[in-house]
Amino acid sequence: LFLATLTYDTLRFEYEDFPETKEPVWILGRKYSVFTEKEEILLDVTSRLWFTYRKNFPAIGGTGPTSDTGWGCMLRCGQMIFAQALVCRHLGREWRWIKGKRQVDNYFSVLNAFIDKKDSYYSIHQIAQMGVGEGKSIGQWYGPNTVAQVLKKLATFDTWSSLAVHIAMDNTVVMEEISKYHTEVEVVPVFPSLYIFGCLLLLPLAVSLSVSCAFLLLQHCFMMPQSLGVIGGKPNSAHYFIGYVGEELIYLDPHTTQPAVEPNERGCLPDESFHCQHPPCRMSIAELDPSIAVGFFCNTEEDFNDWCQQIRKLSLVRGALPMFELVERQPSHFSNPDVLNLTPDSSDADRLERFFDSEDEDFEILTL
Amino acid sequence: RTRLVPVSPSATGLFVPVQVVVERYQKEKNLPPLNRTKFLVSQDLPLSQFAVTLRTRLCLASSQTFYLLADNGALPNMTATMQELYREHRDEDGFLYLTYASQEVFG
Repeated sequence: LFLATLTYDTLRFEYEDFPETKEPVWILGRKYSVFTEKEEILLDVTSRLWFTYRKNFPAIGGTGPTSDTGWGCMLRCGQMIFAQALVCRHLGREWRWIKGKRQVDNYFSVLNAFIDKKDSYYSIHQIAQMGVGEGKSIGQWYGPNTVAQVLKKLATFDTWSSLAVHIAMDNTVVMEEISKYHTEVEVVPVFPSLYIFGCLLLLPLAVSLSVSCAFLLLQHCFMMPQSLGVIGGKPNSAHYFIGYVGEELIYLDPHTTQPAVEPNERGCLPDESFHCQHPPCRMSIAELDPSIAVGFFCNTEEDFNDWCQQIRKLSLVRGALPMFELVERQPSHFSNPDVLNLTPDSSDADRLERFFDSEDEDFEILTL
Repeated sequence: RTRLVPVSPSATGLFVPVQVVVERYQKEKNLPPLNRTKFLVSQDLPLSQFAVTLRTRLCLASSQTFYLLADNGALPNMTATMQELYREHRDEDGFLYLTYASQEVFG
């Protein structure tokens, strides 16, 4: 990690360009051709908010670290996937960042939500301190689910975005739970435009790429128009995956330490360091660590229904094991705590005890 | 791992259980070990319910990740029944082996 800091300047002009390939390049639900749309690809990548390690920011908690180098990479990836949701919410997927061009106010509002100071909605300060409630002390490494859980809590304070953040646990998406955000919203008609459905769906998964079709399914996640990409990484280092080409994943890498940025005397925020202006990094799919979180953004209920349809189609792919499952409603044993504990049935237990007698007395019997 | 002595489930009469061994992923750092690892489980029990039971045993919050992986490293559907899993993933010794794991951390 230290090495990455040292060598960044020497490496920055050596990023490998896209391979000349007939394979399409997919970036967050958009399909591009390397031959005819290289500039559009790079502009799309550059337009994403790129959060890296930073140094010399105000101390976390007043006396804590002033840099996240060496520990903040998953927190930064969490910021990137959330920022993409906010961009979709406030600017739209088609919005592009053009260097030197005056940006709209909403863009600065999104960026400000992630600036390294204690009162930004999703700053490293807020994430690190909220993480304490998830059992993570400041400076500890996070997994994709932990950062998702923390950001979900922080999103409740972000009344500007009114995002419903749903984290689907146990690799199961319960449709009913997501539709409920829509109905809840309808009973608050004060500012209807503010309360339209905007749902950030995050799926923490354990994906074994040794299983055939896993890559195919992961690829499909990047092809959906609702795609927010994937947070995960190589073992130990987190990346924000935004697309793929052929057998390679395309990602933004937070492992570069930049100085923290503050608004200048005119109140303007120098924003160039928040956009990755070199060709994005690529890595072989085989290097992916199994721990990931896949993200989607549905701005309306129609978006969500469309997403469900695509997932259903995907589950019909022959021989493919889905990475996650879509169910209409929560099975009763999740919502009813009384049946959480399965109790051994005594008559069955007796019979089995006799049967297993001397062989293995430490079997536990679980019946419905 | 040590193989268990194979048994014939049908010999137990009416209740024909699936014999499951739950092992902790060898590189697992966050999740504690289970006190008991061998289970006889109803065939029609959904995996989701079995997972909830194990989650309760390990005192996990619902926001913590807990994955049950089949022998080939695949994540089975949570709506699958134990019998379905057994049919697809049973070991030659007559047991269904499941591995539990959480997520890795990154710096």
